[in-house]
Amino acid sequence: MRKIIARILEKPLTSYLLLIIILSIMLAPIIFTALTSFKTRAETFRWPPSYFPEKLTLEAYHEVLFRSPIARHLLNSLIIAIGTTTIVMIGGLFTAFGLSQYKFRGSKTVLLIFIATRIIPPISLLVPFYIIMSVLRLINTYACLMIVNTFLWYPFAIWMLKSFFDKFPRELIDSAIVDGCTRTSAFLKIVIPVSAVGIASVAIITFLWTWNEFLYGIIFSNTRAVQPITVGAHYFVGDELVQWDSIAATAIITALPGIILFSIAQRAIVKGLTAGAVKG
Amino acid sequence: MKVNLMNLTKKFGPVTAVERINLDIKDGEFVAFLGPSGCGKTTTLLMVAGIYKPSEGDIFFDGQQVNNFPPKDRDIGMVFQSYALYPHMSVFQNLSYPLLLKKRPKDEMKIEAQRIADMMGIGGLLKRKPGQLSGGQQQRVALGRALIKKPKLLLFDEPLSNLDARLRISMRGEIKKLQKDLGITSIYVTHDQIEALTMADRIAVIKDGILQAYTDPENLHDRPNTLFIAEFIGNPPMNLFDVEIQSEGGKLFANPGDGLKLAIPDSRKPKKTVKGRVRMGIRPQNIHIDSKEGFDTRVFLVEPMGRDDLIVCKVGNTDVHFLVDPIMRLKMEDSIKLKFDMEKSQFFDTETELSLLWG
Repeated sequence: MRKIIARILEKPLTSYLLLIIILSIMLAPIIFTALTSFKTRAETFRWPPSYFPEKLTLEAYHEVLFRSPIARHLLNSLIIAIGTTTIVMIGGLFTAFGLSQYKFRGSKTVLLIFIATRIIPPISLLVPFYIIMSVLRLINTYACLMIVNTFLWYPFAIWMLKSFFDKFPRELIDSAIVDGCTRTSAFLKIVIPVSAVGIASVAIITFLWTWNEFLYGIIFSNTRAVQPITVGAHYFVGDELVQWDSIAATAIITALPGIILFSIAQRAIVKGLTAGAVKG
Repeated sequence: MKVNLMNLTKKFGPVTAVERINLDIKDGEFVAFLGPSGCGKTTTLLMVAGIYKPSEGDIFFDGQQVNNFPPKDRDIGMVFQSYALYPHMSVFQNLSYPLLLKKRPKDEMKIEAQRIADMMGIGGLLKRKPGQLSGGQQQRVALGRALIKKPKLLLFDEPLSNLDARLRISMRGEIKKLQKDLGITSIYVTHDQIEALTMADRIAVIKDGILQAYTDPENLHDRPNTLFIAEFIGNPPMNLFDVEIQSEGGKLFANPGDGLKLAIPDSRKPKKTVKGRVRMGIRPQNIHIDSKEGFDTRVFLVEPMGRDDLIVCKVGNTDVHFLVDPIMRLKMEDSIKLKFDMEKSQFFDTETELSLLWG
């Protein structure tokens, strides 16, 4: 029996079949959303549902982009995501490099505390955060959303960056210091450029997670002036009518930056900037 | 530049990596730090470079204490084991980086980088990235980068250990010649005794963070003052026997086993009178086949090494290694007669492992 299973698993066809099954389960909702975004509103309510649009129409996109304030939400998301990523990366790079290269008494504990903040489910911190933000009069501001997102993604960023810096060749830093760099300039001029690929991937992931964040967004903002796109899409759910076509179109528009960023990042990683750093 | 290390000590927490090292390096001298891996030689070098701060003791450059000088103010160039080239910079940028940090004008950087590159034989590679160079070329860039700021002290941290054997031999000669031509005081860390013996004016042997000896290669090889040095220096390694020294009619004899009695010449008489067992050492090149005066033994193993055959015989329980001309075509189990050249023998105290001949 074992032999038969092994023989089946060895066939290339088996792995392709498995991949097709898993991918179709994972992609089905995304594909269905994309198809829905091209349907007319009437068609979205048909029962049993149609899979392929009877008539391809860009009506939903037109409505979302030009007749709804979604553009405003896109801008909000962009501001929040860029702001958060900037804060997380600038702070995270120095934190991670310090924790990695300059060990001090308690540096392991500091790292653990950072990670521990993410063991607590974010939803259970909503109330204390809300009280803090309202005392600081920050509800409904970009700053508030940047702060909570920084809280959410900072631990991940330093954890990832620290693992890059742990593997960074010590001799390269020593060499820069002998050549005349200070610790800081060696970090800025040698370590960061050499680790650029890893740093870029952490930045992209931070950006995308902030971009996709919904829970903190909906709690800490209640005007269209600051609400991110994920919350903005929610407006198409009315008391009497759910605009499925508009929601689908918004979802596709929201997903675009992610798809674009990942395809760029992939190319950068293949380039392999670090090749030839040290012979090993 | 003269370098003095005084009671130099480095502790990492409870571990003492380097313990009270005292060294004087003369201007223009080429000194090798030799020792097995983890012995503290690189730590010592990094303290001289200023990357590590000494826990105790002082470092003097030309009589000035430099303990608290940052590396860039020490007038040093350094070559690392991994070359440590900046992978995101071209060869030109790598070479000129120390000058860039000194805020020298662009023209000077160009001229100097070209001059150094030509000297290192990599003049045509200035536009390449380190990843596009061979190991030997990367090594030359690293050496050039260390030389471009005209340092008064050059530090090498096992610079040849990543190169293949043939390239290592030619780079060995090149580095030595370059060092002599430029007259730059140099410290060269290596675990390869051949590198140390062939290149250095003086060798500091370090073991477990303690300086074992500091002398010229010939002395180190011919007059080892500890058992460790005797075993560590020389290839193939020295043969060592447990012997008892006996006195008969005013003459001394050693008995390495098999009932052998070897007369110890006056020049090799232990300084101290010793009772009981001592360690006798004799180098493979001082053991010869002598059909008249030799003692009988059998060939146990033959290892062809090209120019020589390495022969292993048994004397008592000890394996004896020595070299013969391959033309003799010795085979396993051949009967031979061996003679030890006792004028070249060494004696060590079993307990202290110190030489009984040189102290």
